Amino acid sequence: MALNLLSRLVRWVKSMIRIRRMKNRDPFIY
Amino acid sequence: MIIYGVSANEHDAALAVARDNTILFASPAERYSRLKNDRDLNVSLLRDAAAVGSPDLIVWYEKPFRKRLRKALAGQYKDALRADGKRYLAKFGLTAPVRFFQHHECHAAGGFYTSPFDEAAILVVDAIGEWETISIWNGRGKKLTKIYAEVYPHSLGLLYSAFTQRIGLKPNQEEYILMGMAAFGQPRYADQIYQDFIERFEPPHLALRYNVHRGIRWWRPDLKNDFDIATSIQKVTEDILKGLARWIADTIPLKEFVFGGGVALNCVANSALARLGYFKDIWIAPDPGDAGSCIGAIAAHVRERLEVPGPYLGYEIKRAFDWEGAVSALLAGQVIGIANGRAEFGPRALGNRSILADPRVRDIKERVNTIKGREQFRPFAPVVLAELAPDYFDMPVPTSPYMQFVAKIRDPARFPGISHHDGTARVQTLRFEDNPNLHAVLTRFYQRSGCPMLLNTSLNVKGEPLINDWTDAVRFEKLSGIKVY
Repeated sequence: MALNLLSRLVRWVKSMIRIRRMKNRDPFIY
Repeated sequence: MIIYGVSANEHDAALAVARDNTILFASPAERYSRLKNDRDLNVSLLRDAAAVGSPDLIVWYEKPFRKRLRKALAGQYKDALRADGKRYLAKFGLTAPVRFFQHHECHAAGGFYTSPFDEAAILVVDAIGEWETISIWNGRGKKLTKIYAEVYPHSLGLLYSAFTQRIGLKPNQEEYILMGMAAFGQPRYADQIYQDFIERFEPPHLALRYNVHRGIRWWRPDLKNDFDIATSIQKVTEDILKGLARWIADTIPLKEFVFGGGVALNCVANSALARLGYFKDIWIAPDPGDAGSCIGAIAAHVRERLEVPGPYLGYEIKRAFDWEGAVSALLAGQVIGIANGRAEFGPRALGNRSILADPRVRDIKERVNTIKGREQFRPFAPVVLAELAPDYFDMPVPTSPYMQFVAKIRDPARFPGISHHDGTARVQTLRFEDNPNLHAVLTRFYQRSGCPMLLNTSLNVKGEPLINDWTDAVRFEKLSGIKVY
């Protein structure tokens, strides 16, 4: 259970990092 | 029960009205507001919808909370706080009960339940829904089962839009121009695009190296040939779609295939999928993009085949139609407009709000492009009698009534008005039951000229949406000098 929660947390953090990985600060295109 | 399907508050707002499972009215908001890609509903549209009936239920094409969450996490804070869903509808006096459906579910349902299939594999690809960017479904009767979903920021549609901006076009609007430009270049940067943007593509998994949501203006400023860039991203897009189609064909053993989402507006890619031969039959709804999700939301609610009386679902111009006069003008080499009957729902003019011309006239492409204020390289589509289409085009599908596939022209030199640079055309096949008025014009034109096709493009001027009512048509006549029938 704890391991499952931890792995979900790690996945969430990784996806957050990926979402914020942008190479510029131009306005959003959508 | 009267149901309103609403797609709004993002881009290309649209509203559909259904009685149970029968669609009675549908129109994009832009036709009424005259603002291209208008994101908001408007009073005139709602008045015409109300003439059909007041809503007992409203179905909304997204889950607002999930979308807000994604926007907040990505950094779109202002957007995340904007009134959405019920609060948005209340601004327009719409207070009936509201049901919300997921964005990709609406695309999938809108495709499947307007298709002629009892069971089908469904692929949805767009820029972003709430989170989903690619989803694969199995539709069977009342059941829609999601088999796979890729989520933001890994998005093929977003990558295509980012490249649209990279070459100086408007993202989320002018992707079709990029697609047209792709015929002129060479895919010499395709490998570079894979290397720089695609971290992994093992169907159906797609991972991008970066979030391209803020565009990619930074990418390779040394590359100046926009046509080659366009061809390259078009190739990458087609390759990825082919990979997804192959995975679907291997995983879901069905011969019927439904394609939806904004990427399904890419008729060059659609044709590439059709030519793979994995599927016996392909269905793409007349408007597979977000505007079409107003019908998709209704489909997601009723979960059964929708009765849709064709693509002519919008505002009706009731006038006597002088088709003999129209044919005479066409035979004299004139460019004419048609504004008659109910407006098309979807991005293509299919004969009720169209500009028509003889495609054999040498300078017709330049003339019509000048009238419409478009770039001279841009091609026009033909409308052709369905039974004669195979004689003139190498069709990837038996029929293409909504202009969703491109085909090689067998003799492009004979039809310069509709021939693109690569000898292809985006074909609309026409049967009598599709549009009797246009069929009468085309049949008589064929009888008198021996040419079974006409150039068909949207009745509008650059920067404006399709003509809606007769007042718009009169204004168009004054601006363009083209007679509208």
